[in-house]
Amino acid sequence: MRSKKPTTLKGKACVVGTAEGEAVVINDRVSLLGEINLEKGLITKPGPEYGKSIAGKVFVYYSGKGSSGDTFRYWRLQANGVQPAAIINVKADSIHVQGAIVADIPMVANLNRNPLEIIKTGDYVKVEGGDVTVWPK
Amino acid sequence: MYLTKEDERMLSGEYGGLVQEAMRFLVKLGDAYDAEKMIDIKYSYAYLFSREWGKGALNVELLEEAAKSGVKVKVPTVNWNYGLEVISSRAQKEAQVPPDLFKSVKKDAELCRKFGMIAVDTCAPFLVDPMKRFPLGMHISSIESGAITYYNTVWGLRTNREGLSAFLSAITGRYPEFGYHLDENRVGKHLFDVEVELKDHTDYSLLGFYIGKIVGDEVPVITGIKNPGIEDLKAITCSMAVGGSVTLAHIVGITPEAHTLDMAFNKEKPKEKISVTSKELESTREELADGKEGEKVDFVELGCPHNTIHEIAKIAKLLDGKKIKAGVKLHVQTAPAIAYLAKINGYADIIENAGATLMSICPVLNPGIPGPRYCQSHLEYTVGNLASNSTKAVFYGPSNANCKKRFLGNTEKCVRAALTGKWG
Repeated sequence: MRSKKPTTLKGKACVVGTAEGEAVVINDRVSLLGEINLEKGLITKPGPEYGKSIAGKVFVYYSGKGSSGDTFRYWRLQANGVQPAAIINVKADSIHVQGAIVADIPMVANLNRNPLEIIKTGDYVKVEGGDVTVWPK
Repeated sequence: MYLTKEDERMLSGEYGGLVQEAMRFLVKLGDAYDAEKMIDIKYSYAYLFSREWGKGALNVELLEEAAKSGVKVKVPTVNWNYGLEVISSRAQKEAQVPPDLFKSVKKDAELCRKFGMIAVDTCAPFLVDPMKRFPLGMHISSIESGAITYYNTVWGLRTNREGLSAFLSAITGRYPEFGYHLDENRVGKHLFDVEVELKDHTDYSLLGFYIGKIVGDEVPVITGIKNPGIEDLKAITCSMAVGGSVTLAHIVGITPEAHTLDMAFNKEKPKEKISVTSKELESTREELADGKEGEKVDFVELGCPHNTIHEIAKIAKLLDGKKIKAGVKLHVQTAPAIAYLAKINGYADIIENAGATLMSICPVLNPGIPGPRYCQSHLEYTVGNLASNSTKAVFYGPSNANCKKRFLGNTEKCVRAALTGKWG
């Protein structure tokens, strides 16, 4: 899994923490309301990642959107034991930042390179504060 | 981040555990955006949702203890708590809220009252609380993506997209200074020139969704809109926050900060200029609604965001003396305060005699059926084919009502669908 040379990215740690796991990447904005099944942690947003799990994964997407109730939805994913290990966003939406704060999920945004161009679903990713290391699949 | 002595006292726990955790949360939020200091907020629109709280440092025990010890909100605060208690028994039955959830809603209502909040129980609080004292640019904290965009765009108030933070800033009176509280983030980026004539608020809803998709979380500037009504402004602001993640738009001539194009762009150049014709509205409709003329309609939703009394009067007129088709459901959604007006004006009777239901809850937020919680764990359930005059209602139809086909048209067409059971 880690045989290839890793790439490193630097960003702003919105929620400081350390975590690692396989990446799941959605090249779009995500609303937890309607686009993620909160009971099982599955992606219900139409697209190539439909049906995949975000549980224990490094969840990479452009930014949050839509419902302000998404604050509680990272909490709910946590209560159901299916929260992502870490969140990486291009832009930090304040609602999703709040969700990451209360559910204590490490979150990075505003990276020096576009994570959506570098990280692919299935890559192995480590988050340490604002540092992101990516081992290609 | 710079903190005042009073901020430090809150953070040290001098005012109890909830205020302390609230301040910790707000400092973390500020740090995420490199905020330099905290600012005073003057108003809040918040929710509690205590049954959704997790088990971390911020938890329900802390919340209940604070309510008991007399902690109060520091600023006038209105809250949303489903509006299940005040609606008719028919609406309660229609919303199918399980007793345990109903109990937690009642518990939250009591907690909110203890904290000194005023329940408005509507996604459109600006329809029932005019906040007479507000000065332009006042800092507030608001939940509900549609209300957030309305406050910023139509009233010139300043709020970011808030969730739990709205309540936490209400009990501290403080909020980190970042995002839309700062002048530099309120400058327009994209120009939309609306060439098409907008006939009703469904057209405004389509336009808003289209703009939101293009700008994402940036600030659009909109010209060419003539004499919009409250219903139109409510529709366009709400849908920009569904198609994208818009917090503020400058509608030139309407938005208090944007009397002119120069004001909206702060004399900078727009990133792009887009002309909106009927083609863009129609392609947005096609993207959201796959139902065709003549097809069966099972569920009709009017009032997303909540209806004004004028819209209710219009719906009542369309339904007067008629019966909706057997097997079809028509939900007419509004604030409890407006439902009361509907009652004393006779509209509620007309609506209910026609077989429709006047209610405050909607599938986006219903803790019962149809609602996101139930529908996501009961994938076999469906409301059938859904019709609405709102892009938001239609957009969330598949996830929150497990709907099959979707229809998007104006109020007249939706009422007709409820009466005939067919789209057309």
